[in-house]
Amino acid sequence: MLLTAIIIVLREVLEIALLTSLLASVGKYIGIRFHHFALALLSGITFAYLYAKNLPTISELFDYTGQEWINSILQITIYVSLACFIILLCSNPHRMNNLKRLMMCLMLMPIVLALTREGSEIYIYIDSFFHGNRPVFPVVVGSIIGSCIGLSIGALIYYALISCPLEKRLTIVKCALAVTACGILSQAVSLLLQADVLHSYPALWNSSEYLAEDSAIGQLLYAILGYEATPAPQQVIVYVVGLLLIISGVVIHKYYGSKRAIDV
Amino acid sequence: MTSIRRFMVIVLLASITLLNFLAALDGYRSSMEKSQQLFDKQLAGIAQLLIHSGIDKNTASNTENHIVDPDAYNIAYQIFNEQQELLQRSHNLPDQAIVPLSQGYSFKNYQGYRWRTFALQHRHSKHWIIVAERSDIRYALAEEVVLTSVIPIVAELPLIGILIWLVIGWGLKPINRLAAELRNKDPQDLSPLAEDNVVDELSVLVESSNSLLNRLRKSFDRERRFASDAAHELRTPISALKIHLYNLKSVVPEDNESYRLLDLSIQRTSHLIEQMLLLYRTVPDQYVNKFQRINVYTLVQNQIIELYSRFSDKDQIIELQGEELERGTFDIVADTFSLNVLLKNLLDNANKYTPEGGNILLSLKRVDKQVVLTIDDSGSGIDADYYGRVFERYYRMQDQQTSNIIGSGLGFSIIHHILDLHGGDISLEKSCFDTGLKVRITLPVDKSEL
Repeated sequence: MLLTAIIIVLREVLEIALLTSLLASVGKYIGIRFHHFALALLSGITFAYLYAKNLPTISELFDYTGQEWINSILQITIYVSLACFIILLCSNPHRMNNLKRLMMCLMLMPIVLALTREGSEIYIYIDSFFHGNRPVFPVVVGSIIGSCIGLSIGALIYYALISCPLEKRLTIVKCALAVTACGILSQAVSLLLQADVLHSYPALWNSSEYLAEDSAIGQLLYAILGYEATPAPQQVIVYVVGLLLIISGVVIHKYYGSKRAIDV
Repeated sequence: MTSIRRFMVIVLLASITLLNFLAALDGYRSSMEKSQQLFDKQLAGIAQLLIHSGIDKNTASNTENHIVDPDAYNIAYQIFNEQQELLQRSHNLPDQAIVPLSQGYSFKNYQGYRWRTFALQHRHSKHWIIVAERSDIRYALAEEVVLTSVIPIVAELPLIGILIWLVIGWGLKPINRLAAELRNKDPQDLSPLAEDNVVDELSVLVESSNSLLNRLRKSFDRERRFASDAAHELRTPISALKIHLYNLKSVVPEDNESYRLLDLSIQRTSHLIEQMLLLYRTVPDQYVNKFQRINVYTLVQNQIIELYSRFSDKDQIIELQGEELERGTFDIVADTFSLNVLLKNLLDNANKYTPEGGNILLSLKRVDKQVVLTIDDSGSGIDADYYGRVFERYYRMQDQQTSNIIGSGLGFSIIHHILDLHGGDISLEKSCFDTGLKVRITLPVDKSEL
């Protein structure tokens, strides 16, 4: 029970912690202060609670696939926000000054949405033990351990990033956010597969023998890259397409950015 | 990184948490494995005990009393003879063997539970015994025991956090002490920092700071000497020039253009030198002030009296408003000399830039813990776009109306310095007259209360 609780909570917390630490490490560059993050985290927690409380109703929507639909929409929105954020992060500092408000929204929205989704799952998981006959104590201890491991990794990554020079940090953050965003997009596809919205095909490969998803490294890679031991073909395709879209966006933005600068 | 303490506490706590919890997790896994092995041994022990107790010999097959209802709900057993006919079983297992009759451990799902089983055949009677135990219960039991060793690791975390916070705070005390010493240092105090009881890591910083302070002190001394030397060296030739100019007055006609221009240039140079010296003397870093309680109303009155001849020469109407309703309303803690310089500059400006027969209105009022002095004139005023520029050193308005007025462009810089000294403020706006400038000066009653 303890181990299961750790894995479930760690999986969710690690994803939010990584996303938050990556975004927070460039927050000062955008002009985002601590209270903006605090507000985003508070909103995320509130939405997570409301979402979890209304989940029975939501689940019944769209022929009992409401939860999968909503979750996949949330994931796609996170991907779009992050993709736009990465592209705009490549702007020159002068242009960035004019985009600060938009960048702030694009930065805080993924945190709020990810927290809503992951937080609601943690809430539902823990809450189910309080309403059943199963022992609660190991779940609570496991949740604390899982959360603390996730938050510790997030904190260490944040401080490791802010100790890097700004240019290097921006490159690392852009790359890490790009793969995280694609991992999130691939999760959205996985949810649509679960809801039978997309036709299921056999997994492209099975790497669980070499790296199990529930291992510590597997969890970390899941949070960073969206690692899955048995991915469906659609997940891999979407992952690659998502990555190509971001790269193209960055290239086009840089090209037009420099052209505009020359025109001016 | 904005705070060393926060950085160290978070990084240390995160590292300790991560390592501790990963170690606890590893310990939990191995303890659970060990406890399962112990439960397995216990299961085998029960099977051995039952088969050797002769329980199988007292029971014939197909009898009604072969179902036993033991109290232990999580342990069950079955006994079969050599022909695999049931001799006895506990009530929670079926008549058929729960697992194939072969010696050893295995798992079986039965009645919605997963069971761990152990089968054993008696060496002589060839009877079979299967002992089974519910996996979920033994797992929960094992977890209960193992958790007792994990909980202290979780519970100690807040204590470790507090301890780290305190230890780091203690370790950073020398830095805080040094910061406090620097913070509390008077701007004019350029004495070296104390070098005793300084930790090794900070000794280089203290030595460099002391060396810097020493250089600063020498530099300020040099400047002070320069100021007094310059005052003496420059005033003397100007005085000589003035005497020669006076003598020249009897030789050349009064309307001589060259004489008039020379007079104007000498006046301008003299004014510039006086202003430069004042500017230097009122720099907040160097000014040796003597703060005391003074009445601003009286100070303004005295300055008006002192400069009254200038106003009357230009037929200007000067008025001072602001009644001291109760004693001490306009009392502030300030330096008399510098405040007089400030007022003289303000009145001088108003006099110079207000045309003949113009109006100058001074008004004083008390707003909370501040005394506000406003000076309105009916001069040509300043365009709002240039309000910020007039505080720049040597900046002068370039228009026809003011080009003949003697000025150095240092007046507002001097005023600014003096207001910095007193924690005051200055703002410019349109005058209450049709044309002109309003200068608003705000002075705190006591700078130390800010």
